[in-house]
Amino acid sequence: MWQALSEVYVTLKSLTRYRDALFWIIIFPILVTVVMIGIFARGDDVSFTVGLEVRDEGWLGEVVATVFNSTNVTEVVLVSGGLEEAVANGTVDVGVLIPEGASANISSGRQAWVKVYYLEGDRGSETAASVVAGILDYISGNISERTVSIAASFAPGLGDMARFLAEPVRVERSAIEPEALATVGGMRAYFAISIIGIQALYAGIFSSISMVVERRKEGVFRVLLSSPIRGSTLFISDTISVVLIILISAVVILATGFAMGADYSAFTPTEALASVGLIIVGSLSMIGLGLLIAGAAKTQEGAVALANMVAFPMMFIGGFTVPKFILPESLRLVAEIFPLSRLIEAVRKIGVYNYTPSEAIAYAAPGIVAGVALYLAGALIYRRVLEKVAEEP
Amino acid sequence: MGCTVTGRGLYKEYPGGVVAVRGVDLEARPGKTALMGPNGSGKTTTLSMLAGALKPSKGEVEVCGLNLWGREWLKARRRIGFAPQNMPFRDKLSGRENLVWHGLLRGLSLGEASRRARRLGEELGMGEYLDRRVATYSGGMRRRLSIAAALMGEPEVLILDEPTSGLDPGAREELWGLIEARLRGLTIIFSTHLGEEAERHADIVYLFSRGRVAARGRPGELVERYAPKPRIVLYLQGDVEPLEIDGMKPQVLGPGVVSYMVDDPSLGMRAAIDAYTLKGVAVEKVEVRKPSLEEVFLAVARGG
Repeated sequence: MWQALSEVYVTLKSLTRYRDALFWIIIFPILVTVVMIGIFARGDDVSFTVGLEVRDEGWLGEVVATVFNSTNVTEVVLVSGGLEEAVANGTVDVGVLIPEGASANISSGRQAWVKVYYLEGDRGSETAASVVAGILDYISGNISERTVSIAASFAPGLGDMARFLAEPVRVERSAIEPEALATVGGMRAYFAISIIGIQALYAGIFSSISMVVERRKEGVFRVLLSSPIRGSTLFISDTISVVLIILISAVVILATGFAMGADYSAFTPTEALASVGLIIVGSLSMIGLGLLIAGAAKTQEGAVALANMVAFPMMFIGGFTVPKFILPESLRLVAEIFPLSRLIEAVRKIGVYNYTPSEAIAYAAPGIVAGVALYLAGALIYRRVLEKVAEEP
Repeated sequence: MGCTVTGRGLYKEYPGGVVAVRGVDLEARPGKTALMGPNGSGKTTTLSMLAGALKPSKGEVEVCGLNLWGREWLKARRRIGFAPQNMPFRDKLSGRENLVWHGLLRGLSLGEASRRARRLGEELGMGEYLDRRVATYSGGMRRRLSIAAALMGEPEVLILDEPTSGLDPGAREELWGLIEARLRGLTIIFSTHLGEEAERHADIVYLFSRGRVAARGRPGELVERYAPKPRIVLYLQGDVEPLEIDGMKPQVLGPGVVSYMVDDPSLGMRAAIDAYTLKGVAVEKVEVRKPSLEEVFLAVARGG
């Protein structure tokens, strides 16, 4: 083991001298993180401008304006006349008119009406109108609830009837703590984890190809075969080197994501440890896949081409750059069965969807089994390559 | 101290049916053993099999009494240092760092590998170069580094594949000087296609031809046994037509320089001078050249 670790040390040390290696391990992940988060998780909030024309002199205008402004969805612009024009020319997304006497009507137990203007055929305006109508329903519901409560205190028997008349179907709203993806920080964490997946995909496959093809080409295997070192020791040291490279990139990606506002609050130390474990298994699966490719290809060029044929499409349909939930149904299957996709999705479940480590590991179980199997198949290929080199330089 | 390396019935057939080595028996004892032969004669393949870098299709190799491909393969390999023609180095690392890397492959600890790298660097005269990146090394310095790398495990057997290939005569001599000063007592097996190098530096020479050992012996013994007749070389005045003298065919070595293979150099010399003087051509100088291992090599290569 000491021999393997020493070899890892020298490999990592030599990497620091190669600018291209440093680019792929450090700079490239930073660039991808910045670009991906910059494009897909900028965090622009959806909001509508509501033109509010209050002709009423009572309290209703103020209540409506306060409620609208308390949401993050609507921004109130007070309009005095010309509300329809303001909607028509797009100055506001939707217009709300509170007519004269509305407050007085409610206070004296009569129905008040409020008019909502929207631009027909304009999806944004229609959506805004629905949102505004929903908020107004909420206000109306609150008023009726209060009125019924007052009525029920005078005549208890009439309470239920009054409630029925006021609201034949009661809609119960239950606030659920949003999943982190619903927040900008959560989206950024989602993409940071995805980019770790991309890095594991590429670094795992291409490093293992160079482990075999370049070593063979440079004659390193000839020296190794004449040295008192077991093939397994060498394989373990290579594996540790590649996994460490991926973990270094992962740290760089997470740090970049953090600097851009990614929210990692869901990761407790235990969950972080479980996530590291999942990323390591994912990396092992890609090392195995790379070795299978290296074993199948006859030349270095062939191996690189084959690796690109696998890695490039997988970057998109594997649920890394394009989230799985956006993929068409038929392609989602790929992201479900590709071991690294499943393992990275399990990390997302921990870091973004608040799963416990055991729940995430249960989800990842098929990926873990397939990933370990791929790695073991790669180890057999590696052994076969060494045997082949001993037969033919 | 060195130990004996034995190859018995070594046979190597590559996939595709190409047979590189056809039943080579070889024994190398402490001292220097040269494998000499033309390109493609099986020297490198044989060396690789002796070093454990290539598995023989048939036959076996024993290093210090240990079978190289048997149960004691690790122990056997600990006794070998191998420097192939193109030793793999990490070009962006310094010579010292590369030596440490090779030391680790030999199973040394990081500290021990660093100590040996420093010592070998000094012994092989690498001096300040040891801390420069290998990418900046000359051919000669790279060769020294290869030998130092092969010595990192303090082997009893050192196997060098064409250690001086690509070096100028000065660098060649310098490298051999270092090998002889530093590696006395080890078993050194090297390949070369330079007859002069084998003649000067090897105790035993194996001449390879078409994948077989065509001849084996001490350099002088091989020359004695296999060399063609001696030659006389005549330096003539002017660029004249060479003459055939008493059945001796001329070989033109250059303008006005002709050589003849003779049974007796003194008789041959007299006959040649007389023949050219009779034709009115002045002979400026005559040399007698003793047959060399190079000529034995050429004769063997031609199947002689």
